[in-house]
Amino acid sequence: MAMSLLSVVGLLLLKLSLNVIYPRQYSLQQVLSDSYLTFERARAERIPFESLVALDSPWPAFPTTASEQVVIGKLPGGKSVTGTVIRTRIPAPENYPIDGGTGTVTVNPAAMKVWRVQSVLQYRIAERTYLKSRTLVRSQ
Amino acid sequence: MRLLPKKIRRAFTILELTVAIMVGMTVGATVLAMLNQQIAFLRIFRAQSFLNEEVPIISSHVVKLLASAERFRLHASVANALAGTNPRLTSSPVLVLNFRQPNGTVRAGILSFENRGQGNGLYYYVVPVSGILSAPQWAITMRPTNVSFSVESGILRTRVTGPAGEEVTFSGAME
Repeated sequence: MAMSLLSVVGLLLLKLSLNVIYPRQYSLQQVLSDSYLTFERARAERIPFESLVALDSPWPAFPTTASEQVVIGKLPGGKSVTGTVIRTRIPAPENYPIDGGTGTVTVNPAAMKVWRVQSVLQYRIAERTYLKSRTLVRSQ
Repeated sequence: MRLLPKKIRRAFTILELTVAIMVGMTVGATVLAMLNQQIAFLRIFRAQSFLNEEVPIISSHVVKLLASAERFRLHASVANALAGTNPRLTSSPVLVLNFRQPNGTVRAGILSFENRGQGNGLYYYVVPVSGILSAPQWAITMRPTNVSFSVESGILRTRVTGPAGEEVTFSGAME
């Protein structure tokens, strides 16, 4: 009787512990990926416009994309967490055809060049793949 | 008439004792296993607490400060930062941030990872107009083992190392 009771209590405690730990393990990755994406956002803000739209831009014009393996941080114990960042930039429809859009002098009289600069971070937790993105609008 | 002697049982048999001892030992072992399980759980919980509880608070403070600053400088010490001497381009424990005020003047704040006698901590000073620095206004966190500020492609990066070897980096571009 005592053994049965102890086994039940033990299993219950184990289940409760796992219920607490698993969501926290998930949120660890969220903290690391969110902090890494502050770099992507800052870089997209900081890069000179001419470098952004250059042929060797880190954010090539969609549908072309650029991928890079990155270390997004370290977990307790010092284990590095890696992910893949995929970068691209998408033109606004009002851009002139030379800037990837279909705009004309009528719809874009100021000849504005507007790009949505997007970085998508792909990382895995257990068997699942997660994607998280940051998009910034740059114009000139 | 002869009375039968009353059967008196004064002890347990070896078999009974063995069974009782084995049950006791099994119960004890199970309780110990449960205790170990709880200790392991608490150890994991504590190891996760820096990234789960402390880092979001640090991020909330530091990222907002970085985003609202107009320019920055890196220094090796608070004294250098306050005097504006020996600015560095390498990883540094002290960061001076300049904020433009609504009236057009500029005020400075200092983020410093230092030991003020209570262990290492990340502190924030608001530099008074007089220029004489007093105690820090905030102790943002006392838990990291290291905080370093650096510049990469014009982006200010803040690398925070936790007590269990965790590492997280916040970045910010100036306004």
